[in-house]
Parts: sequence; structure tokens; C-alpha cells
Amino acid sequence: MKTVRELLLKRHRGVTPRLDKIRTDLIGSLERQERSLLRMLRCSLRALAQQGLALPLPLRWGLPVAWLLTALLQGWVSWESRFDALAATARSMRLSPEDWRERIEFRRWTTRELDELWLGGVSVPGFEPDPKTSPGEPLSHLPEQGNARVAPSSV
Amino acid sequence: MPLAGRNVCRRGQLNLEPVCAFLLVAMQENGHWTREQWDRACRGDPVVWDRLFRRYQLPLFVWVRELVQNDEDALDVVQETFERALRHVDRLRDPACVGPWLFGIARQRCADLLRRRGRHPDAVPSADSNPEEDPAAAVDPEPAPDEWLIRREDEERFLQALAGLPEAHRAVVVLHCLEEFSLEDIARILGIPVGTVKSRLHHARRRLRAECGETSLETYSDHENRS
Repeated sequence: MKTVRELLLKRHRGVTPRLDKIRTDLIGSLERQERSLLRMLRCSLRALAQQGLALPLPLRWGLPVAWLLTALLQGWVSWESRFDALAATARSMRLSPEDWRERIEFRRWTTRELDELWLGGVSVPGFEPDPKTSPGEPLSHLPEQGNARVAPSSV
Repeated sequence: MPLAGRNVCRRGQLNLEPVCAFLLVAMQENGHWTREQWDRACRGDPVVWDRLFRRYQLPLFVWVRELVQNDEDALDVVQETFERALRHVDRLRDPACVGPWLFGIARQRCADLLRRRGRHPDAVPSADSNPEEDPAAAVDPEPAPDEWLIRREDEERFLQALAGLPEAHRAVVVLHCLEEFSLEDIARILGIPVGTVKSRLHHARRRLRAECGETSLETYSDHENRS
């Protein structure tokens, strides 16, 4: 005994090879389509890389060389300008003999003022300042004897 | 099967191959798609399509063959059905209803073919005055055709009686017997109301019983009682 389903399927089971062929053809076309899609995508990417991004051989070599030359030139220019700046600074520090002399005099005068200030503010026993003279008169006005300074009272 | 598993298992660290195999086997048995299988089918995964076609090719052919009564035409219709399914899979709303969807496409192809021949597949037989409104169809005490058991010596007789049914009735009976589609699914496939499906099933059953005789068609319960 068979069910209706079994009976119907058994009756037409002989057509299964033809149905299998239809199915495999369709699945095969689906796989080919999938592969062809991938292949098309890959080819288009390659073509884009070759035609859109790639350059002719002279340009392909010329551009790196130009870039290298530009970099070298830029480095040289920046080094040169820095060197020039350093040289200018050195030149500005070079003084004439008059300037040097003036500077030496200025330094001497400055230290002298400091020494007078220091000595005038201290009262040494036996060397009290003369009340006749002005209290703030610098000691440098006194004549020097050798390396020692002489107080007015002792003169 | 391993091919299908490989595609999914590459995504994660877990070995999902047994799960994929189980899902595919489950789909092969009940003919339903999961959402994931539908997604893969939309992407044109050949494995999913192969499983679906393998599952439905013979039932689809049998049903179409009963409608068009010609092997070559039935093969053409099956091929067109599969091609259209491949092209329009994105129109499938419910992946679980992929079987009824395929049969629906086949029904449209059959209608086109029969229209070219000058016939219409949904022609209502003249013997029934208005079978669509038959109240007996709503409460039918007889067993459904998919429960019938046919003796070996009555097979030819049953097939002849089936071939003698009107096309519209034969379409419902064969569809009901081949796949365990619900009446709603059958109604959706044929584009008719559920009441019409019940009515056609009822009249086809009555006519088959009348032509084959009560003894030719047994049910499971009869067979079990006798044995």
C-alpha cells in the first residue's frame, strides 16, 4: 500500500535525471555568475590601477628624481640661510678698536663707581671722613699712592 | 554541506560547521528557509539554492505535470520557476514559506502556458453548480486524501481517476497530497479563497471515491484496524 504522495512521486521518478540536469545547469550558471562577478571586479580594479593610477615609464622615474632633487635643494637652501644667519650674527659681534676701547673705559668707570660706593659707606677706625668735606664725596677724588688709597686726614 | 559550513565558519572563531550542516539538513527535510539562509540565497549562494531545488524539484514537477499533462512542458515550467525564483528571491516576504512561494511561481507559469494553449487552469467544472459555496465542504467527515492508502492493484485506477478530475480540483488534491501545505498556503498558491480550496478538495475527494470505489481507498485507521 502506498500513499498518494508516494504513488505520484514513484510514477514520475524517471524524470529525475532531467530535473537534476536542469538544477545543475542553473546552479552552475549561478556559480559562474558569482565567479564572473568576482573576476569582473578584480579586472576592473586592475584596469583602474593600470590606467588610472599607473603612469608612463619616464614619468614614473622622473617624478621620484624630481622629488629627490627638490628635497636636496630645500635642505641646501635651509642650511645656507641658517649659515648666513650665523655669519651675520658673528659679523655683528665684531667691534672696532675704538669700540673696544670705549667698552673698556666704560667697564673701568663702572667698577670704579662701585668701589667708591663701597668704600664711602664704611667708616674705618682712624680714617673717619672729614666733616669739612661733603659726606658723600667719593674716595676716588683722592690722589692714589701706589696701589693704596690714602685718606684725606692722613694727607 | 561542508562547503556551506565553510562559508559561515570563516567569519568567527567558533566552529559552526555542524550547526550549518544541521540547518541545511533541517531545511532539506521541511523545505523551510531560515532568515540566514534567505540572506545567503539573496547573495546568490549556490549551496542554499541547490538544497532548495533538490528538495522541491520532483514535487514541483509532479504537480506541474498534473496540471499541464505533458512532461516537456512540465520540465520547461519547472526550469522557468527556478529561474524566476533566482531572479526574484528578494520579493519573498517570509523565508519560512519558500515552498508555497515556489509553487505559486509555478502556478503562474502554468497559467501562462495554459493560456497560450487556449485553456485556463482555474476553470471550474460544469458538474458542480457552485462548489465554492458548498456548505458540506466546511465540515467534511471524510479522511483527507493525504491519508489515503492505495493498494498496488488499484494504483492505475486511482491515477486514471485523478487524471479525470477537472484541472482546478486536481491542482488542489495533488498539492494537498504532495506537500503538507495548510489550506491557507494552498489558497495563497492558487490565488483563491480558503473556502474554495475546501470546496474543491471535498468535491475531488468525493469524485475519486466514487470512481475508485470504497475498497480501493483505505485510510491509515482502516489499514491498522484490518491488520
